[in-house]
Amino acid sequence: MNTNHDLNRNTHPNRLVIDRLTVAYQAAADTVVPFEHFSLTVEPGELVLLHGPSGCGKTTLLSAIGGLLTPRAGTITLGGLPITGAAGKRLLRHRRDNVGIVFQAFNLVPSLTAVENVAVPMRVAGASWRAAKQRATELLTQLGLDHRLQHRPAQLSGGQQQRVAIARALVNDPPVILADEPTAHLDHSQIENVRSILRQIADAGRIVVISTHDDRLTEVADRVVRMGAGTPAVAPAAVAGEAAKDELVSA
Amino acid sequence: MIHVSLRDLQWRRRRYVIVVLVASLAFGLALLMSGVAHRLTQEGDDMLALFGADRWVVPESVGGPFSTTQLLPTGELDSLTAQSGVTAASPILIGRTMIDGIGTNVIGYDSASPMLPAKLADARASMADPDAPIVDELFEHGLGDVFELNGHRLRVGAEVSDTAFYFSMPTVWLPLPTVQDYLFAGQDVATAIVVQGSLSPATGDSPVLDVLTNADAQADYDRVLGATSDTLGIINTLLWLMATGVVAAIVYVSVLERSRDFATLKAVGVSNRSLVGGLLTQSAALSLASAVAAVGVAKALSPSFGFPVTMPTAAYVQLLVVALVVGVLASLVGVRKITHIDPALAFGGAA
Repeated sequence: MNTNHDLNRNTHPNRLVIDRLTVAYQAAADTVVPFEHFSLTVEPGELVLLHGPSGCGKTTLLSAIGGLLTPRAGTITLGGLPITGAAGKRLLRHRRDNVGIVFQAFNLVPSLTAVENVAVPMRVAGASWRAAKQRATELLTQLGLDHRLQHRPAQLSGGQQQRVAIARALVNDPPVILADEPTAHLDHSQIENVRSILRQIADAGRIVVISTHDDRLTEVADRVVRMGAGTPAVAPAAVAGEAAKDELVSA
Repeated sequence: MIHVSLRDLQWRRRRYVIVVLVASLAFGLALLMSGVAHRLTQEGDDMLALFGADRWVVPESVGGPFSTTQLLPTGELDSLTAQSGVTAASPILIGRTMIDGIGTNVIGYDSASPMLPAKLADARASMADPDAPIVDELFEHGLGDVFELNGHRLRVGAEVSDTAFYFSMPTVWLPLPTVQDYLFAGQDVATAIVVQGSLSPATGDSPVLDVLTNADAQADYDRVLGATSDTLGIINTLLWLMATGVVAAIVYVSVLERSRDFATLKAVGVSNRSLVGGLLTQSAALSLASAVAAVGVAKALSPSFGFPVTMPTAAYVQLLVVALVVGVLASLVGVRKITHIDPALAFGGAA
């Protein structure tokens, strides 16, 4: 893997603060409340793992941070600016500029090449295709995919697709990276690779929040937040670099 | 997101090619229907222009020279030509009969008239027997062929073009007396008297005559074709709807299949507006490609029609406009779907 200065380029003075967040949604006739009054603070440079059983709200929390769903109560702020309550163009700007998301299923657009998949968010942000492709090429090269630039997702292995997805999350240089089960579809060697990349991304001063069942990611985490299914969560006294990484945040 | 949409067209090209082929068949048939309608109208225009008349004198209370079954005595010609404002007048006799099992127009003309159409005068000048039949090029028999008209054997003396009418029914031109003898039992009658110059107002007040303008004569011709034109219009609309349905179905299926892609794009900050623009572009591109292919389809199918089908430039312009409208309409269902896709759907787990 080509470790490089670009992955480590920026420092972000943005603190992510989640304060008494409650999410609820309708599923058939029932109201599902994955978590209530959940609080968490994450400092720049910190890599936080969200651990917990299925249905405990890990992915829902990522969605809320990413501005993809509106919580019932509570607030999320990034660098002091509220994410919750944002709408319209402001919400789009948040998704585009503040957050990069690595999805469990990679979610690469099958008709686009690796370079194009990575370039799309930058193009959306207003860059020319030429500039976006150049930046995408740089990122993919740094992630060891310089020989796969023009390949489509179907022509890439799971690990390669995951690296393309990571490059796409990084292309707009956002201060927050969210990863949902980033190792779910990878084999052992690929996991090692992705784990290392995610750590580098955090070391660059970004906030990295990962939802996972995979205990092997614990080694690279600064903190592990254990979430319980459907029970009120308690905010940890979040401190970056805390000695005891493992925090049980729900009863 | 136009780039993404165009890439998708490339990626799923096989299915899109099939859609374009099916839609182009519908568009092509619609284009042919326009061509047929144009041809029918053009034939009427050609016939009217052929005589160069200012007025058409017909029997009282008939619709016009093309639809009437009533005849007027040619003796009326003398009183008309005697009018000071009339520079020329000529009787015509329009009949229809079967020749070798094919419906044929038979028109009797006044060979001595100054209003004799130029193409007939030229044809007569080229023939050894100037009273021999002059036939339209669509007639079954060509120059020198012998055919039978009501038991009379006739040899084709010359051919002319653009004189077929009523669904390109071929026309046989003969001197007026010949037609009177062969089809009207020797009666000295005409269907109409075409007039150049101006008629006195009293002519229109005659109890046995009506005076029609070219517009009236045109309306009479169109009246005969009215139901056909309406039917062609309905078929055209149905074909356009069919094309819309075909493009809409594939666009919608494509949107359903790409729901995760759209959710992901929304999650990375792409606006609904941008996604909708991409979908519109895709739908319009499919529709326009179908329209372009339809031109080839129409040209390939037109020889199979029993008469020449000419597509006017306006039909091509109309096709492009309709294709654009079809593209937009076809995308509407997909647009609704896209705007309702929840970006959180991107977090689904299956790879």
